[in-house]
Amino acid sequence: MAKILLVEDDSILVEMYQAKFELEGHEIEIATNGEECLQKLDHFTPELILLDILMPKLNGFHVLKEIKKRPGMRQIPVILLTNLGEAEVDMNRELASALGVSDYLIKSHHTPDEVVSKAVKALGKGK
Amino acid sequence: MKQVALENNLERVQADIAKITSATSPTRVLRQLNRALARSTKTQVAGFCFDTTGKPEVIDETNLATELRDKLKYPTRTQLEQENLSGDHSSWLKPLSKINSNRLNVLSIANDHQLYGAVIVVANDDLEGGHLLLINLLSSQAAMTMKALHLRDLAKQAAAETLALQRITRAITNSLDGDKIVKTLLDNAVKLFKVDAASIFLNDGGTSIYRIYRSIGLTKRYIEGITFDSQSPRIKQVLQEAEPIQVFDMRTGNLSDQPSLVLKEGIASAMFAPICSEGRLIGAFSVYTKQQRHFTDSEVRLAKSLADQSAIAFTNAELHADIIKVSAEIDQTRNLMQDGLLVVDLERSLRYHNAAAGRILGLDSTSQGLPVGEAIMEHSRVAETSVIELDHAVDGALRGESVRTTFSDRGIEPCHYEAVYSPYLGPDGDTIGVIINIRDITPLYLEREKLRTIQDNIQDGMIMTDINGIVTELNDEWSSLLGLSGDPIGRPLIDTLTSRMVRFDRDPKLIMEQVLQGKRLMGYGELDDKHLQVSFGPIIRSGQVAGAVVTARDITPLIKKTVEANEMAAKAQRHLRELSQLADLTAVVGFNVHGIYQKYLAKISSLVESSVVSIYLYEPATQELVRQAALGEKEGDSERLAITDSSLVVRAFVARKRLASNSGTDQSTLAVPIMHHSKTLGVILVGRKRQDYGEHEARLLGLVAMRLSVLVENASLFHEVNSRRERWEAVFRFTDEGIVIFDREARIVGFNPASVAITQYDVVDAIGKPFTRIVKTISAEGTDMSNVSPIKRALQEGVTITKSEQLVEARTGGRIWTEISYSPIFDDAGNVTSGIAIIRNTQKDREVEEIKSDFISIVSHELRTPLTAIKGFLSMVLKRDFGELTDKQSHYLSRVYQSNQRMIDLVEDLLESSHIESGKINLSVNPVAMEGIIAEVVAEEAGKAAAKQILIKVNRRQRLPLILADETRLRQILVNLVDNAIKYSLPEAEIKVDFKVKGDELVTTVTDEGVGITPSQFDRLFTKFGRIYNPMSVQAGGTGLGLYIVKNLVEAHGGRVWVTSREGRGSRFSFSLPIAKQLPLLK
Repeated sequence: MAKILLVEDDSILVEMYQAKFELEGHEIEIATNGEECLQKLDHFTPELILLDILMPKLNGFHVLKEIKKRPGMRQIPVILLTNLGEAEVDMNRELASALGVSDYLIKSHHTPDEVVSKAVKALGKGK
Repeated sequence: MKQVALENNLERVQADIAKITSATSPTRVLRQLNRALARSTKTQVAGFCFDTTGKPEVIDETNLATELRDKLKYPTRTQLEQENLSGDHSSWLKPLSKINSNRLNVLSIANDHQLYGAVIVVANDDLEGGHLLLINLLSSQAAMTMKALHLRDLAKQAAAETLALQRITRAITNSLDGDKIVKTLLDNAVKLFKVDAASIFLNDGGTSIYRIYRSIGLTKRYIEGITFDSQSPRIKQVLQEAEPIQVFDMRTGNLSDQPSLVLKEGIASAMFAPICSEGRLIGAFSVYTKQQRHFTDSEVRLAKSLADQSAIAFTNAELHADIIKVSAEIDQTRNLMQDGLLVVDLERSLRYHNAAAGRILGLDSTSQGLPVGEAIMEHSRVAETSVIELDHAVDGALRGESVRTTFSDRGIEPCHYEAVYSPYLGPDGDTIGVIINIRDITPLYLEREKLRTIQDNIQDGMIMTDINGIVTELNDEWSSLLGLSGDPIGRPLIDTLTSRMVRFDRDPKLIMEQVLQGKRLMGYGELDDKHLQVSFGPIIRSGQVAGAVVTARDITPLIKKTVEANEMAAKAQRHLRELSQLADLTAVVGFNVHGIYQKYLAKISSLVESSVVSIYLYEPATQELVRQAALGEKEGDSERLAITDSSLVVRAFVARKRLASNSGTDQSTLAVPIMHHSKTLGVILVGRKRQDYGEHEARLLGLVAMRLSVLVENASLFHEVNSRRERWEAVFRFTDEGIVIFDREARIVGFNPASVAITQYDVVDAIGKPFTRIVKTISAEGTDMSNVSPIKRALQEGVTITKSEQLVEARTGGRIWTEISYSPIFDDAGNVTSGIAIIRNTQKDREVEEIKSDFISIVSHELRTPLTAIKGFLSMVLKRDFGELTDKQSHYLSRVYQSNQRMIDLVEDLLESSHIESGKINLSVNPVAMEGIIAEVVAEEAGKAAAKQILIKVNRRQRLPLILADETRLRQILVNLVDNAIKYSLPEAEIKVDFKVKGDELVTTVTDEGVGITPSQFDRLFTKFGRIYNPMSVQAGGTGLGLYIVKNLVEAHGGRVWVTSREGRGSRFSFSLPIAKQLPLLK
């Protein structure tokens, strides 16, 4: 049981990941864009953040950098979820790991089930 | 007292007179006179005498007061004489009288009207009578003494002159030596005339100029410089008068043309006497003096007499010299005579013999006076019989006959002599002896012998006649040549010639007439079948024609040979003409075939003398022989002959042989094929009337045909090349691709408009410049890549190199993506001579590609999201997250899931390909250990393999070297290959992964036992969607992009990928990657 912040602009995918994580007994807070994510984080500290990259307003990497600046939030594991192609992911992979990302997943490659297990793994590491 | 004084005085006067009279020179006389007068009159006295010219010369002032000395001016004789006549005190005394108040009394010294001088008595008063008387007495005494002295001098001089004259005359009369005469003359002349110098002028080598021949007392400069010209008017005048002239003042009365020389020589006066002989001017005799003076009449006469004497002497000397010369010549001639000369007197005694006679007959000085026969016998050089003959001959000569004998001596090589005996006539015409002239006729004798030998041995017939044309001699050859039977000697030569019917090219009578007039002529005659060359020449004796010699030579073989040679020459001439015509044809070149045909027609016509000439060429398209050009009958008619025709032209063409149709009197024709190597191009046809064609002409025409074939072939090649070139030029000009041609040094030699468009350089700018300066290749970052241009490799290694992605910077700075392919151009020998670069502007392709790539990126991203949703929800449904499913539901939803997954894979691969194509693959190459990667991949693929019960076997016997690769990409490559292997393998099959080090590469091979691939599909395998065409791949569910991606990734690493396969047995996919070289640092 963990409090998880899901940042995702596609409502269907939000519904999908929410359904799965709640099924697995996790508490899901939703933000549909980067700005909203940062606002939520002002009065809420999740145990894990699932962060999309391509979003309206603020993209995932900006959000990530902002999070890492906030005291007390630096330790929160972040899993990047994206639907960019592998090549783009490769290009950003170094940046991602420099920013202390726990995992960097291509959404279409993984079933929600697999995402949950990755999240659990990250949570385990974070503790 | 007075008496005593008078007596004393008288004694004194007598003593004075005695002193004056005994004085030995005019000076002394004057001095004694002065002294006596001064003492007796107690006055001051000066006295003077005149010289020969009348000037005051001897002056005595010893009895004059010192202050008066030098103040007195003395008169000349003329002045003094005028004084006496006029009684007036003349001007010469006035200055003195003014100085002094003394009275001056001038009293002349004269005797017998001869004025010798004067005394000047300086007195205070008039002279008293006694004194005057005394002065007169003493003066006249002095004058008498002076006269005596003068006469004595004259006598002395006359004696000296006579002596000198005697000497000269003696020299002139006694000597015949001109030089000696002149010397004597000059030596004495100086003394005789009391002059400083004398000279003799003589004529200079027959001209009118006279130069000093001998001289005395003159400088060399004067001798060489002074001449006179007998033609000059002054000299002519002198000659006319033939009298000596004297020049008192050489400065004014100068006869010479060289006055400066005269001045330098210091000559004041001179006298010239012409030396003439019989009105001819031989020279001149001249004397010179440095003091101005007149020559006396006797001196002038003397000069004339000397000149006359000299004239005689010179003439004599001249004659004498001539006589000596002549007599010396005669002597020499006698002794040099080749002929012996003997003189015998009436008693037959030898009186004289010359050197030659002595030599011939062995005579010497002891022989003189001996009887001539005895003298000769004594030395017995000649036979006794000859001596007897000699005696007879001398007898004959003494009788007044002229006798001629010959004899020989007894030498080893005998000499032969001819002796002529003539009577020696005295001045009265009586015979006073015999002159014998002996001539050595040995050479003549030998010549005659030689002539005889020649006559006997000569091949030519020879016959001689006398002046009347009567035969005197002939040799055997003449007889045999003319086939004479009788003896022609004594008969006219003409008879022998005409009797034998010799046919001459001209009348032999006329020839003989001309020959006997001294002409030398050549004739030609024919006798039967013989050809004779007959030459006629005169026999000349002592400059007179004495007969004729005629030689005849049989020139029959020569004539035959000449005829043959002429024939040969004509033949050679013809060949030469043919050759030159053929050579003319060589000059006919070019590609204008019709112009060439016309020239050939004309040449052929004259070469083989044909009125009709045609040129046919074969047209493969219609299989016809078409007449291209014609001369003569068929001119202008373009005849076409089918290959099946039976005409001579077609037959010659088909048979590839020269064919002639010789029909004798009617038209004869000759057809010669035009062959180029093994190809028959056509036929030349020639025709003419009334003369068949021979083998030579056929061969000649063959040569022409051969030459023509080359031109025809060249012209056709030229037209082909031309049209090819036109096509190429069109391509070059109008293609969109830049075409740049460069030489071996990579300098641009060709630059088409498309290249201009790409590089923005004009053609003129580009030509000659290095390729890399005009086509500026740069990297994507903008660095200059000209030094790594493949152009050098293309030129050096002769390979084609293509750079598919090449950024080019234009002159204007703009950058364009291009594909450049560099190809070498080879010559026939396979050497690279130049190169060509094709530059394709790929900028548009690239832009399209980029748009496409972006599009794919966006599309695939947008595709993924719904696919992810489908995948996600389905996975949850299938996991029964939302409740149970029926079997059917579960099955079909699984199918949906699988299809969705395929879609996801496809999108993934598309995205990957678009990345690859846009060149966005950024490899992070590091040394990588293959072992770890392959283990991970096998583990990853294990699930799929297990589903089909497939065993993946990694064969690794030894530790593999590190390779240079991007780890992620390497994994991707391996995944793709292993994945493919699984897809195409049948269940329970085996997949093997093998490694092999090959050079500096590691080759990885994935082998399956699947369906395999046909070789025809190999090429397509690695292309985009290559597997779409493979029905199997559809079943296997591939995207058709996997191998395309693999190929691109491997090649991005600098490796290679390839496949081998046997259909139904499986495939082997291999790729190579570079081995990481161990850095020295890591060792």
